[in-house]
Amino acid sequence: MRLPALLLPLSLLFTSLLAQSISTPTTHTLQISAWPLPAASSTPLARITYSYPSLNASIDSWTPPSPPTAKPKPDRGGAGDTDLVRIGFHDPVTQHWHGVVTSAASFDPQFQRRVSLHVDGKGVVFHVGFAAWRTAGGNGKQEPEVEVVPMRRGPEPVLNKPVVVSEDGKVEGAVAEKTFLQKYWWALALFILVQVVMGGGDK
Amino acid sequence: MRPQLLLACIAWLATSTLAVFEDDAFNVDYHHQLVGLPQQHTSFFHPVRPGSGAVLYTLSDKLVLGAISPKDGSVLWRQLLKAKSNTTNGFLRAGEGQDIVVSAVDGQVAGWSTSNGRMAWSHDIGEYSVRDLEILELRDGKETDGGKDAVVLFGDKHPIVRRLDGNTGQVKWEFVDSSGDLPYQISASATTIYLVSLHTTILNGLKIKCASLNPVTGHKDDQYTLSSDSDLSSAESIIFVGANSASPIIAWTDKSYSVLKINIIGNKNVASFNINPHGAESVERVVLHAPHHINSVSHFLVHYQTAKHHWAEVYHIDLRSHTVSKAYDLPRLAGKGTFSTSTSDANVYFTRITEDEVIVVSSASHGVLGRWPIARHENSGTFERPSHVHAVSEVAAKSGTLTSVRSAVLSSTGDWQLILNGESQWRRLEALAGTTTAAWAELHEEAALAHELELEGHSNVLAAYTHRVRRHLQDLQKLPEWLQNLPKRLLGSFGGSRTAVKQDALEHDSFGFHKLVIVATEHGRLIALDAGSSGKVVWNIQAFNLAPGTKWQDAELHITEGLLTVQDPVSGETASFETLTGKRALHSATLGSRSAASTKISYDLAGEELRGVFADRSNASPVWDFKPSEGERIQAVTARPTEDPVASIGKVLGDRRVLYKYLNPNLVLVTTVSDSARSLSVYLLDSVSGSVLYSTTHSDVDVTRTISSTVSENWLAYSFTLDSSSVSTSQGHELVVAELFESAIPNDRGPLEASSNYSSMQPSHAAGDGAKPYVVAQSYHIPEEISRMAVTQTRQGITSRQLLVVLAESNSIVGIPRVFIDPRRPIGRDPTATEAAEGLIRYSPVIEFDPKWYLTHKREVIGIKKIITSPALLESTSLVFAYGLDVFGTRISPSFSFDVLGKDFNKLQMLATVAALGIGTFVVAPLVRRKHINARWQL
Repeated sequence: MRLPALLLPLSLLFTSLLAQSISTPTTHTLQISAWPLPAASSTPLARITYSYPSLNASIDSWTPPSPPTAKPKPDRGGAGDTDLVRIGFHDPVTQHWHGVVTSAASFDPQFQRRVSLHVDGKGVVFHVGFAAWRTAGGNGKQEPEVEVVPMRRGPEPVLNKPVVVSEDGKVEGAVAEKTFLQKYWWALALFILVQVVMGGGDK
Repeated sequence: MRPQLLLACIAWLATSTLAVFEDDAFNVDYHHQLVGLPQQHTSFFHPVRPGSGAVLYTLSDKLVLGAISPKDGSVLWRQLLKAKSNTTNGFLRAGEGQDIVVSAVDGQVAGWSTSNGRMAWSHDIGEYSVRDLEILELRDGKETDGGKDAVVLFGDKHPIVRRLDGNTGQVKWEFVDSSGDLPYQISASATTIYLVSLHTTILNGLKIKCASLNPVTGHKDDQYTLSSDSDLSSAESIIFVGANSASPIIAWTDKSYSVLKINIIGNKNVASFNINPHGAESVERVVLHAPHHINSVSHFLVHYQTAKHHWAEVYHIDLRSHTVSKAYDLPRLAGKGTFSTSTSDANVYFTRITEDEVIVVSSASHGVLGRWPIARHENSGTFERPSHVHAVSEVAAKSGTLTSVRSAVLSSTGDWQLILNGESQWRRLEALAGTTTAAWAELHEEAALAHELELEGHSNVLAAYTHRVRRHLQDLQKLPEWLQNLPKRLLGSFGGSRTAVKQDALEHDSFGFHKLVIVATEHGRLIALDAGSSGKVVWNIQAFNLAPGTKWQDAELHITEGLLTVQDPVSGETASFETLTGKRALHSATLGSRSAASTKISYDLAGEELRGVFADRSNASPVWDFKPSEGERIQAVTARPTEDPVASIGKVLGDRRVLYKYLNPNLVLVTTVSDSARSLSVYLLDSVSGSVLYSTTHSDVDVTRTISSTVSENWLAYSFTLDSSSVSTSQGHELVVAELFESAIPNDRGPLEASSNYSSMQPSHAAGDGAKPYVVAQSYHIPEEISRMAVTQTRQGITSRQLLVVLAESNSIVGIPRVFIDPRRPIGRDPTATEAAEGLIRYSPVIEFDPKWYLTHKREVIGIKKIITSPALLESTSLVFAYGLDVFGTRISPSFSFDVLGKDFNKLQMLATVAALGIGTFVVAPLVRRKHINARWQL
């Protein structure tokens, strides 16, 4: 008798805790690193805290890579591209590196930057994005904007509304059709009026 | 009068709205109805009905069961049998006087009507695959009226024999052998069914075990083992287990083909014959040919093949003493030859087909009954001298004298031809059924001219001048021929019938319909077809000799300036061929040099990740790396075509405002599926920077079904099937189309605004992030699963595009007009006046495939794996070529043929009208002049 009485509040407490953990957005942190193309390894770029599913994100730390030593050579491919910087993260499980590539010029102070985090349905980042653009004032903020991009649900066919039939087999909401007299009374009236007016003159 | 006029008007309206015009059907399109390479043990002549003429039945290496008319080689009916594994081996049998053929592929045994190919019955044996199939000719010792029963052997460790009812496919009895021996074959004689299995001894030899079963009850009557383990090491050394002849035999040889051993089944004696190799050459192949007819005499033929010669020996079996004796030899002849057996009444005839002649002998004596030289066939585009691989024959004999023999011969070029008394009757190009890759090639006259002009431009004035004079002198040589053809061409064009001047020669036509399609087959062949003249074969060569058992799967055909460059699948070196002739070019173009020059970053698939790498591989580490979210596997990667011209950068709305298209040449669409979550995710990547431009996910997807996708211009499409257990309101197959714009607002280019240039990597000099497109997407239900997608291509991209989809279930190809899959169709309301002016129609959740959209109209195209398209010189027209098993090609005009006169345009009438008007003017002019003068004088 006493045991269930004790268990009840305990279980209530537990379920409320559980409910809280589901409803409150879980926060994650992710270490973004910059990896200049000729470099052997990556260097930390930013530490981002974000929450899912509320999609709030903030930058904890930001250390832009040192500006390229060599002058950017725009028309050269292959090894020796010092003007390309890879931005990405290491998968915590497989330790594989995933990310995108951008120009080192993106870190010039005149540009505004944005880091995008692509998250899957569980709130885990699977890919990052990076963009830089000229701001109106000509001087961007040092720290980039952060954006969390969730997976959108794909479009579904927009089905037509089903016809709802009432119990007696009639379509609900359908307006009862007007009778002939209700529809064309004005024509009849006009006809009678014409008859009355014209009829008087013929004598 | 008036009703007739009205009818004519209606008829005219109806025909003008068709997508495939009636007079175009079977005229602009071409179709090779293929079955694949036939196999000797599954090909035979068999009458459709007892007493009627024979038809050629085959079950090919592509598992197509087909009935071929021996008269013209046309396909009477076909069935594509589905295999669970990727086996190419099946069984096909027909009982004497039966109107059903029985096939067995993997775990599926089925009976098919000989007259129309409909399934009569089927029997599923589950996870096992069939090892052998036989028809029981006699039931309880005497012939019966109904369908003859089939006996199947299957199983791995424990051979199982089942007798299936010939009318229903029901199991009559089952015999399970629990000895643990490997099941090999079954053989049925008049009274007994023999199960032949292989018993592995300790020393890795094989002992042949023979169990005899009672055909009525399925019980084992007797069993014996042959001590064959000293010379039999693998099952490949068994060359024959005699089927339904009066005295079935087992024949095997040792590895070096020095001794032939024969056992008459039911008897433990083994007859042994030494093989005389007739010289220094070693025997490469031993084939035994025996009649399958139950009433025929028990004679058989053994065919020996060395590298350069072949010969045969004929043996007789004495039924009373159970002894085998050699009757006579067929002489040794040079080259490769084939033998085939045919029966007429009880007599057995052997047909020998060498490279030059057909010889028929009777099994009883070595006297030649008929000898016909094989007429050298007209050049079918091959330079090689084809050899015969195998043949099946049918002889017509009246009271012992031979009247004619016809043989269906498969040659090493992949041609299947019927030879009637030495004359080739028809020829089927079955090599095309193994097409794995195809590419378009221009007739390179234009390219050659451009090359010459370039030469002149780069050399000094004097050299350029002499070069030009020489070129013009060369061109002058063609003048007489051109003048000769001129009247014919003029007459042809005024006669109104364009077919009258159909060019046989490979000539460049003014519409650009003549293009070459070069295909690579899995057997190492390269074949060129002319798309302009009904898919005629231009050349057909064995480009590479593959090792037996290997297939050329991932061929990449690079075509530049009249040269086809391809990587040798054996040595890995590159080889070049002239596209017009198929001759091996002396200088070979270096592979990929052009693509590397124009592409800096390319991508490849590494496991479950897509990574960007430098195209010249100068830096091994990836530039970017994309991995889909956890638990998803990449199902397909589709890129926007490299040649994809776009005529307009915007979409003009009804009110003259413009929606700007998001045009990025580096779009790559990645579709991934998650098996556990039963979901499909779609990612659109920029293949230069690796960034995700658009991503979306669909849940409740049947991930085992085909998911097809395509990207073109500024839109993408994909299709999938919803899981049948899903609780969503939608069920079945869906097609999703998404279109990318620079901005959601008309007349606005978003942050890109005035910038003329844009880079995927460099920071944008416009204010704002312009890298992300604005995406509009809509989803539709479709009545059938799409197995493959492609998009039409035209020269300038002005013509609206069509989405070409392959429907595997209905064996057809459909072209869906772009207007029906425009994702901006208004939902739940009729389009406004401006939307209607733009051509938008109201959204409907279901797209029904209109019968007019079927590019294949009446044709049945089976096994299509891919479609490629190419622009013609006419802007309105796109050339389409589909391959996989069948080969189908056509040309389509998605916006109708606005730049070419129709066939109903009568040039003669127009000329006559102009001439009449001219004459009228001449006649009337003096009269008018005189009238004018008279009028002045009379004033």
